[in-house]
Amino acid sequence: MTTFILRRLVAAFFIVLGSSFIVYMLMANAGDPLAFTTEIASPTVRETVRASVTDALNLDVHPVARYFLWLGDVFQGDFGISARTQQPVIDDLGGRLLMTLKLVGAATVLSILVGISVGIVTALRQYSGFDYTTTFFTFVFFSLPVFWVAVILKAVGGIDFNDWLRDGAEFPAWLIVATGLAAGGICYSIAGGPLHRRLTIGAIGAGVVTAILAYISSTGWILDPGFGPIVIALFAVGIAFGVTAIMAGLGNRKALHSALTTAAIGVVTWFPLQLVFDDDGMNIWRLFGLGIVAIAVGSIVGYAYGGFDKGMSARTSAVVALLLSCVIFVDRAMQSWAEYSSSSVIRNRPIKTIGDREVRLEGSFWVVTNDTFSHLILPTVALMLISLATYTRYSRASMLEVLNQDYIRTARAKGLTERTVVIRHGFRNAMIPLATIVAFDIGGILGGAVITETVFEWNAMGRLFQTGLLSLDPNPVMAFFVVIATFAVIANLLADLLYAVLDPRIRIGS
Amino acid sequence: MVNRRRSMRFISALAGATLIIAACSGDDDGDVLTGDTSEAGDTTEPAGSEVTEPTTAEPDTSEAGDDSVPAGAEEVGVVGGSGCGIPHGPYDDPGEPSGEVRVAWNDPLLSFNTNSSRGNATANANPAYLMGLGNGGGFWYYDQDLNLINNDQFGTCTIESLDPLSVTYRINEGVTWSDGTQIDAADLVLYWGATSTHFNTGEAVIAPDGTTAEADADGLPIVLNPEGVEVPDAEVPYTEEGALPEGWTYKESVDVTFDAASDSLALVTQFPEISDDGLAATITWDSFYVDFQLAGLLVGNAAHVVGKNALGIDDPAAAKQAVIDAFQNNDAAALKPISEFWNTGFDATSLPDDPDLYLSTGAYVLTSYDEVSQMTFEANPDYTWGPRPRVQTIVYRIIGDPTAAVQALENEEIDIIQPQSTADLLTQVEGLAGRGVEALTGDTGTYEHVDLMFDNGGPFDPATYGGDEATALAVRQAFLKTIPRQGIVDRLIVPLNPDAQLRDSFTTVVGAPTYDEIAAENGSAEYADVDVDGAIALLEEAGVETPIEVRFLFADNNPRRANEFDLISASAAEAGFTLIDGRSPTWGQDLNTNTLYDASLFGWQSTSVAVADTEANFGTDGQNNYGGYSSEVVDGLYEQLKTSTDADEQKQLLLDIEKELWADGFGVTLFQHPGLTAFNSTYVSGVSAIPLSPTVFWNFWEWQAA
Repeated sequence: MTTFILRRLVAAFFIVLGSSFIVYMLMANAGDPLAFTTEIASPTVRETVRASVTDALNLDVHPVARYFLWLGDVFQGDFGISARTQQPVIDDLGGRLLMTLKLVGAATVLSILVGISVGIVTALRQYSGFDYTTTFFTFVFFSLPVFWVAVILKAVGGIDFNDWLRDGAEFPAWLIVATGLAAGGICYSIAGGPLHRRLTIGAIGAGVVTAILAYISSTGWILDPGFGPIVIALFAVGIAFGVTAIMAGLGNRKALHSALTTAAIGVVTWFPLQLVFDDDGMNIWRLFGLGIVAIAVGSIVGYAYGGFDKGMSARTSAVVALLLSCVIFVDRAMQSWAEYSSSSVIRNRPIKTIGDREVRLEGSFWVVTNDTFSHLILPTVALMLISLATYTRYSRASMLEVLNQDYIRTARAKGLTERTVVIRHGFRNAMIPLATIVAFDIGGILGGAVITETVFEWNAMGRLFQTGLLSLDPNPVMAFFVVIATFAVIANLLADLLYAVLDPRIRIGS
Repeated sequence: MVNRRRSMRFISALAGATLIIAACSGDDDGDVLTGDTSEAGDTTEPAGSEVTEPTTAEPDTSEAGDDSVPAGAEEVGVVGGSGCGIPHGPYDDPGEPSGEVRVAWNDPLLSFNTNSSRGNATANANPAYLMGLGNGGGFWYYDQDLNLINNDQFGTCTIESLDPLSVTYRINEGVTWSDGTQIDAADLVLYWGATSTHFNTGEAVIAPDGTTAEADADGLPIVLNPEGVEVPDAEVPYTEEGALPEGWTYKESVDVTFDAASDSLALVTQFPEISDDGLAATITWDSFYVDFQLAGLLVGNAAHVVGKNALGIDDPAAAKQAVIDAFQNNDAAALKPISEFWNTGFDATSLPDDPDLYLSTGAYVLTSYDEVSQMTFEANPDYTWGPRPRVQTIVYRIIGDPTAAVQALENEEIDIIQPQSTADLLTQVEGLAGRGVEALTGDTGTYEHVDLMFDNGGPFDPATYGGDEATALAVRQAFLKTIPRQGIVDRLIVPLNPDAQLRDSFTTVVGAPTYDEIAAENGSAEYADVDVDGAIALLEEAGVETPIEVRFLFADNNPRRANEFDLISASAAEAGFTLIDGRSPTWGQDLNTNTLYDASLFGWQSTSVAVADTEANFGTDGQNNYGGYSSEVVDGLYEQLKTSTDADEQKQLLLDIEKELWADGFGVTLFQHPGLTAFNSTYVSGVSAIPLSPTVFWNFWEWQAA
């Protein structure tokens, strides 16, 4: 294992090295980094700047030799200076990287989760209305250019949505009915079984969604959202049943009971948690700490129920605890929404089209959290739309292929429940090819982030690359390249390791 | 020849008074050059002030029209007279500032020193203006009509005499930097010392490790071996990384190189005379400098900050004195760190740790600068010496993409934008009227023009016709007659600026008070309309065979230029000129290579209202005279202009220069570039823009937050 990782790391190192050489040569031949100096009117100053930049960037050295000079500096942690600003590139690299990771991280995780779930569901309900509809939309999104999507998203999801909030956040009746019907249709498509069961489920879905929308619209809930203990309790029960159904099966009583117990604990702790949340010292690390405590409590509850399968109970409860923590977190964030939105800096237009945060916003951790989300949402959606299609299509195809395998038929034949067949035998095997796609797609998302950052005015890695490229400034471009290439290569390595976890036939060793 | 030309250009480059690199032109960067040109020309300098001439019957507006120098003899010796614009007098108190206004700009600030050549960009000038350091460094600013206004609450400029020219700059008592230090003569001396070029002692280069090293003949840093002996570059055993081996060093330069050059202050060789109270400095020019009002002393960087950082003196008074002493004694050992710090010490792409680096003298102080993305300015509570702002907070957001800027305006994240004007953007902005967004169209400080080449052996060069001046002149005139000037304006510019009109002057901006007179009499009427028949007649008369090939250079990334080329090309073809499409991504550098093209199309950006600056464009061997135009008459007129103290005479001289240019077929001027400013009237009122830097910021104190 160690040998394997080491070998891969060495290979990765040489891949980055080789590709950086190619990019460096391309940059060196792309044009003159000193072109901007023609704008300097005074010849003396022009010559001074040209000389100092030439010196600092070794422009008088042959590109191949220059590459090695540059490489030597990079190994010492020095990415050189930008020809244009004559400031060291390394100065703000860290901040920019964090910002890009925030954007790319959210988009990647969300598109993996959403893409794979939708893909699996469409595979299970192949050729249903839901299948066709998602296929249609994923292909539409896939073929739209991201800069165009971003502009449209800003217009609709940003400007129009903010206008709608300002006008009282009421849905027109037709929209409530139409959304309700659409939700009903989706439920109908997804639900299996005989027609009357599907119709019932569809009707329930339509009814619930219509009712929720009507409630939201009539009370202006979006202007001052929040769940409150009762809705959270409903969520908790739903999560407990849902997670148990997927992970252990409702027949596993111990798992169900431990999940429900965990849910109950979660609902009860909602009250004291509010005090913890309102504490002035609240920050992201405490939040993570609370999440870990929740998972630990869930596991302990699962173990406490004992039995031969206490590991399963513990896992189920841990997942329930995690999801419920998320709900409680969202609930608390929502409670600060109105405060955030009405802040003079925000001007009651919470969804932002530029930047990654509002620097001048003053408020609690929760207000700032809302600010982060309202800046993240549009670029994240724009980025997600690129990769969603890939994940949906690949996981659908992969799942379909697995479900047609002999061992699935065998599993069914020996009387396993549909849940066990799909989750244990199907899903896990369908994930193996997807690991490759994930690694591959991280590169794609990082690339897409360049455009997204530009359109949304995020001053992060992509911007560094773009301005560098446009002004033919080699060092910022190379800094971007080295960092991004390293990420892409590491992602590939992780994918290889993931194979071994998912597929027992693959052994990673010497 | 080339060498001679370069050295000549070097000399005229020193004549750059207030140049601003066209960094603000964003996406359109490629189409504008900045140079010593100033089309605003003689138009707008203020005449004598009402304060000092209470009996004058002229209203303000006609004073503005009364071009340039106020400096009638009656101004001499009048304390607080118009040595740097019309004294404004006390300002109204608008009361406590409140609310906030958000402005978007397309490029980030890179340096807090706008007086160095490198820092002299609009992206740096706008924040500096908010902090009192833009334009005239507190002494003066432009008003809406580009009159020079002296903020006499800050300081006064008294003309001591005109021959020799001598002006006293006095800072008022109690006018302080935002750290509370009184602004005084030390700051003025620092500005003079840094920009006069007199203290620059030699060539130096920045070595790879960042030291300012002495340069050898090839411009490479000189290297010392461990024994301290100079080693020729070829013999230096560089390491693989190109660094010096252990123990070797670059020979540190004791040379002083300030990265700045003021043609005006270069004429001030005498050390400024500092008043007893230390608040005033008097300088005397060796010879008259016609634009002295624009290019006198100003407050740029704090002397005590420079003294503290360069010389390590913490006490402000002592630091100031040390800076004065360094210049007075021409102490290279002290001037070297001073110049180094002055050149690069104020560079920043985010809020510096040291608050001294961004001290303000004006209405706003900087409170935050997020890595090249957003600056926040708060009203300076101590500021009483000038127009006090009505807005408490100004947010200065960097938005590079014009579409993003318009959408941010629409989403009310931004209140004021000034994007590069295009028809699409204008339509978009006008579509936001329902949200209270108002669009202001108008001229910018850049004008478009066609230049011809006189010295490249092409169709416009007399050498082509065996030195026959008359034939070459006929060909030039014929070509210029075919250019559809009005057609270009009507089709390409009017959609962006309904009030756009043809620019008929080489030296004076459209709408300036003297413009009408100059445009009417300068001979541009000959080229007002396309005259294909006239062109054919001229060519026949000269006996030149058609078709004549004309290589036409312009920027390849600019659709408008391409459209202009198509229009000119079609029209010129009718008279027998075959235009060769010379669009080039490197057009800026190509301009210098006169063998590459016969005619060029680009823009000149004006950065001040200086009078004599246009010599760089039209004078023999002028820095911006790419076409090699040379006229003894024009050169002589410029010599007269530079020493003229009378406004009417200056106007007449400019008119005479223009007559020559139009008659000689130098080229044609086309139009001022259209500008677009949009603001959300729900959140801010009182916004307007002027063509010159600081454009939309010029009257920030009149902005009012809702």
